[in-house]
Amino acid sequence: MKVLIIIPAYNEEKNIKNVVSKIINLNNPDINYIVINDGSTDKTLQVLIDNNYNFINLPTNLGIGGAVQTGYKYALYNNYDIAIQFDGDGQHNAEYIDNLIKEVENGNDLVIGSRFIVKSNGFKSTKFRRFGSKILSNLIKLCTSKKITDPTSGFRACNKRVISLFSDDYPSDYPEPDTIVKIIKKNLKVTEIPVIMNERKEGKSSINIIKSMYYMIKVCLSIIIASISTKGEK
Amino acid sequence: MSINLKIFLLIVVISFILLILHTIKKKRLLLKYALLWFASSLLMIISILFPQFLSLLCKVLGIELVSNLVFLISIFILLVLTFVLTIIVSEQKKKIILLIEETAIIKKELKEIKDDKKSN
Repeated sequence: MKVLIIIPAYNEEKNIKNVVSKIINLNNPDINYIVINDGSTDKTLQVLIDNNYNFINLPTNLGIGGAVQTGYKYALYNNYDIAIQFDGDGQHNAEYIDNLIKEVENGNDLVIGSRFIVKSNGFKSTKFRRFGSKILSNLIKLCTSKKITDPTSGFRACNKRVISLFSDDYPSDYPEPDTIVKIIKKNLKVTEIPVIMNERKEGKSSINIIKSMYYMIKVCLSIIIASISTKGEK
Repeated sequence: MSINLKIFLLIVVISFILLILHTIKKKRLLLKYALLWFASSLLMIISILFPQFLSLLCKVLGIELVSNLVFLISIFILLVLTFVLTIIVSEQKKKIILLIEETAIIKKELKEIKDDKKSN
C-alpha cells in the first residue's frame, strides 16, 4: 500500500522541520510525504527548499481546505492508496500513523484520530473549544446518527475512494466536520482511533476566541446543509 | 409626470442603455450579465412612458404613493442583482482555487522533470 502524508503548512517556519523529520524518521519505504506551503508569508518556503523536502508551493494563501485538497489531488494523480492529513504545526504524533493505516486496511474509508476517545493527559485544547467540539459532535450525531467524538480533528487517513471524492470537492475553510458528514451520508465507513496530541510549540493557532462564534455558526450550518444535500450511493 | 421630467428620464435611461452596449462592444461585460441590465432598463422605460401602469399596480397592491412602489421595485431589483453577483463571485472563487491547486501541482511536476534532466 502506497501511503502519502499530506502536511499543510501556513507560516510554520519554526515547526515544519521538526514535523517533516518525524515522518522521515519513520523510515518506512511505503510512506511518502508532501508538504503544501499555503502561501506562507514567513520563511517556510525557504526552509522547504534548503532541506530539499518534497513540497508543493501554492502561489497564494488558499486556506486549510485548499491546501489539503491540493494534497489529495497530488495523491490521486500519483496513484496513492492511502492519504493521511498531518498538521504542519507539530500537534500530531507520527507514532499513530501506523494505527490509522491499519484501520484503513481493515476496510474503513475514513479514519479520524480522536483526542477524546480515552481519558489521557495529552493536549485536549481549551475548555471552550472542547465545548465547541461537543456541540458539533452532537449535531453530527443528530444528522447522521453516528457518534464522532472529535469532528474537528485534522489528523485523518482515508482510502482511494475518499481521496478521489476529496479531490473533486473539498470545502475551503473549516472543512473537517463538513466532510465527515458527507462521507457518512454517502454510506462510506468512518471510524475513530484514540490519539494524543501536543500543544502547539511555536506560533499561534489559526483560530482565535473572537472568531469562534462565527466559526461555530458556519460549521453548524455547513453540517446541516451537507447532511441534507448529500445523497447515499448504492 | 411633466413632459420635461419624462424627457429627462428617457435621456438618462437611453444613455444607460448606450453605456451597456458600449461596454459589451469593448468586451468588458459578458452578454449573459448584460441581459439583466437590459431587462431593468426596459422596466424603467415602460414606467416612464406609461406611468398609469404604475398607478394601477399601486391600487391593486394597496400602496398609496406611486413613489413607494417605485422604491419597492428598485430595491427588489437591486436585491436580486446583488444576490446574482454573490453567486457569480462564489463560482469564480471556486474556479480560481481549482486553478491555483492544479497549477501548483503542475509546477511541482515540471520541477521534478527539470531536476531529472539535470541529473542525467
